[in-house]
Amino acid sequence: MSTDSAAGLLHDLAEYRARARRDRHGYWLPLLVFGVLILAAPLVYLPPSEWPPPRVQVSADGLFPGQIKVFGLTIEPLYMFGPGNGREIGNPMGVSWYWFGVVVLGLAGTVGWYRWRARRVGVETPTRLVVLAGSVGLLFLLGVVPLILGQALVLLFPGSYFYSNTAFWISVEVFVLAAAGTTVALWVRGGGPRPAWRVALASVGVVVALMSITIVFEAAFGHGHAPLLLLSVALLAVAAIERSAFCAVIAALFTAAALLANLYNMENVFYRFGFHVDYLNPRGEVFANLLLPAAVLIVGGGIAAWSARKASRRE
Amino acid sequence: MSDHPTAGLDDVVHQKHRLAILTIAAEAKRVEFGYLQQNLDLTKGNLSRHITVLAEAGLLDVEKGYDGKRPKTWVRVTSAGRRALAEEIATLRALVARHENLS
Repeated sequence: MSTDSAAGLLHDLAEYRARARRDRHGYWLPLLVFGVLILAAPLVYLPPSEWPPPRVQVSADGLFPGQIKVFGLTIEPLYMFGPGNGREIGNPMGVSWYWFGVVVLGLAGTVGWYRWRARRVGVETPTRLVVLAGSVGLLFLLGVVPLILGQALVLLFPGSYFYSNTAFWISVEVFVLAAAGTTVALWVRGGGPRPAWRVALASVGVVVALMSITIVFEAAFGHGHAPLLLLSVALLAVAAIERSAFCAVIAALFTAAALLANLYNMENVFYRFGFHVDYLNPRGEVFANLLLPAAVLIVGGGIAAWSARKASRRE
Repeated sequence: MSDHPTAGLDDVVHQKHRLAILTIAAEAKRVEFGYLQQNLDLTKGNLSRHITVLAEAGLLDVEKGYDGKRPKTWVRVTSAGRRALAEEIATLRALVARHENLS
């Protein structure tokens, strides 16, 4: 085989690969849909003046609205999807269900979109990573966090102590120690089989690490925008399956915007630019926090859609 | 003296269209017969023969099904197919690099 034909063949194969990748790219739609759903979210936050909150009714089992009993344990599965601590709104359960719907139906729709597109174009993108990332994130937000917050922490931090700065920093330290201890117990091997006591120690370490990181997570992300972080993980997974640098940049920018929405009050930025948010209306505050993440997705999705359309017209 | 890079070429894989089929299939979860035919500009019979050779060598899995009433054939690269493709590309690159070092 001549060198020229080898170089030519490598060039042709690179073109086939690039074309197949371009043909299977479909991330513009999930970006646009999630962007619009995030931008529309403030409409769901009804102020108490418009929608008086229902009188809290405790069921015969002693359960508050949104709580369920699983194997005798009381948990509030949609806690991390709710409006967050200290936000006065008329329909907290409506907000929880909205975000739950955005995440679950949005991710199911993304997988369905890729399958539909595969039938139409003839080249299918693997979606397993998105399903896995979404499922693990959902399990964490719906199961692990509410279970630990509702059950185990009551024993560790009775009363309001749980919400203190001291509890937060103790949890950070406990997490670092537990994670390091578990790693040492599992990975440092002395040649023979791992002794049972080290496996038991590692198991306790995992539980303690999970409990302490949950306290840190709730303290940092319990202000009502945690679902954005779940969407970040899912969009990073979309960028990975698409093998697209542009999609990865958009997912990274969205992650940064989602962290900002969770950790910083964006009303301050609006205030500096002369926009005053009405403190009595939760929609304004929520809109201020969600505008940037939504804008990143809508602009990114728009550019991707435009470039996909341009490429298909050229061919 | 080391072997010439062409000694690493596999007869089943080392054919332009079969390499292209493996390359496209490796880029996706699975790829449809019509997509390959259109992109490689091959007749149905010709493409079918190449796919059969690759499937018999265990480099591709072939799935036949329907989309509504229309029959569809999908091909999926196996892990052996991915390995064979990677080896072939490495051999081709070594060949090009050897030539560049000599010239």
